[in-house]
Amino acid sequence: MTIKAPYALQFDRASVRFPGTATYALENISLQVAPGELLTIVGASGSGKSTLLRCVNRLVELCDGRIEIDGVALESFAIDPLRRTIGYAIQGVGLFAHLTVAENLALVPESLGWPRARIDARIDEMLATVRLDPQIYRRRRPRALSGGQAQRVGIARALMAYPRLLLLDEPFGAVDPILRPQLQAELLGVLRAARTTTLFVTHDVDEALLLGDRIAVIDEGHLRAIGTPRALLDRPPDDFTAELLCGDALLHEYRRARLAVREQSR
Amino acid sequence: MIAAILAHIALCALGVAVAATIAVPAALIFADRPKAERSLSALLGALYTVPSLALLAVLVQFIGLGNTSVEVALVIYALYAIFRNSVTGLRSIPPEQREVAAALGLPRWKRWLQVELPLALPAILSGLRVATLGSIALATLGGYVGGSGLGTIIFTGFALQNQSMLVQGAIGVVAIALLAEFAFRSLERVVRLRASG
Ligand SMILES: Nc1ncnc2c1ncn2[C@@H]1O[C@H](COP(=O)(O)OP(=O)(O)OP(=O)(O)O)[C@@H](O)[C@H]1O
Ligand SMILES: [Mg+2]
Repeated sequence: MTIKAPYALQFDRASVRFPGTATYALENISLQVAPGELLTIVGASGSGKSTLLRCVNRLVELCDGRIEIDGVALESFAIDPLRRTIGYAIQGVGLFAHLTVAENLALVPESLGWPRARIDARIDEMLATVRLDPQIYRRRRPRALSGGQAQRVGIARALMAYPRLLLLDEPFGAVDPILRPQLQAELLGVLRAARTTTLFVTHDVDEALLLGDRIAVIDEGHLRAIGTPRALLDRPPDDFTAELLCGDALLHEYRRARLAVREQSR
Repeated sequence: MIAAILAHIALCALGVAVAATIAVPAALIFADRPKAERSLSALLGALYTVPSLALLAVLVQFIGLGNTSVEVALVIYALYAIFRNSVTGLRSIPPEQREVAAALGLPRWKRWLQVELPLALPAILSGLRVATLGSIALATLGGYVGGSGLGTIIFTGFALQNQSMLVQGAIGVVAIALLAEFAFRSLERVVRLRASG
């Protein structure tokens, strides 16, 4: 008999309804994420992607169903300590403008009571990981960073305290298409090295296909499909997923070819 | 004269400082409790509109003549401006920033000290400025109830029909007010720059 390791994250018929709205923002979402897995979440604007992420760190509460982390129900954790173990980075406004890069990065480790020397060493390590020279960037304020640099600092902050889960909400939304591939590759490298279980929201289908071990397709609060890029591209389970992921015949061919290249490079 | 000016400044500084130690934490607590905040604002606003001489008369009944009564009156009047401006400042923090602070799991006190206060600081400072200017004017009434400060010169000048004493006192008050205005404006500029990175 084998004992199955718990999922890093599990949604069980989770639903969300915001007060004063007639429809569910999320309805009956069930999915499992394995430890170390990177799940990308795609869908149209307003489909509920951000809401799905925000349930995990309880910025949004479920009205029905449940979520488990490492096999433990979400409500059984005290909320602030739980949040300190979940990295969260969002597009644009995530960094505090009145704090330097180093001060932004130190916030969570300070709350965890790390000694100063350990925090400083980790700041240097994380800045180097996201390819920002600590000597130059430690003392910068967010104003003095480019969009791409700010985004990297945001991801570094989310990873500072070795989170058990990482939630990224369109982290590259504000980054130009020239820099994007580089940041995507860097992020993959960082996440592989840290083996951090990650939910990555994007409305860029190619980004979702490129980064995700698996992809979840959300449409109007419903989970339409979930599977590996290969499975979803080869056999999309419904018309909506086919339309979104495969596009027209030419785009479909192109995406499958890119996926083949990616599979080989692994 | 110099002694009176210094006493005046000390009177106002203490009053505003005490009011700030009450009003700023109160704003932190009440900013996201709109119902309670409205009641408290209404109460402070009502106190603010009580004519100052009447308030002083009542305070003297309980506390007696002297600086303590003046000080209590200064605090009561300063509370309103500091509280209202602080609440406004805290409420104008972009919700995304407050949310990120919560999402990082920062303890409440750390969110206050490291995120909410610094971001609301420009507004808090303008509350302090308004309260300080009000106090500088109000503190002259201290001369009427046995307090110290420039009020003593003004009221003595009034009693003796001494024009030059009256003018000296008035000029002293105006000078302190201009100084305070300038100091706070400069501070606000620095803080505003800092808060926006
Ligand atoms: N706090 C809230 N109160 C009421 N409705 C909300 C709230 N937050 C989100 N919604 C609604 O829930 C739905 C899903 O929103 P969500 O932000 O999850 O979409 P999204 O997929 O992230 O969209 P986008 O790609 O534009 O970021 C939307 O219809 C939105 O208007
Ligand atoms: Mg969103």
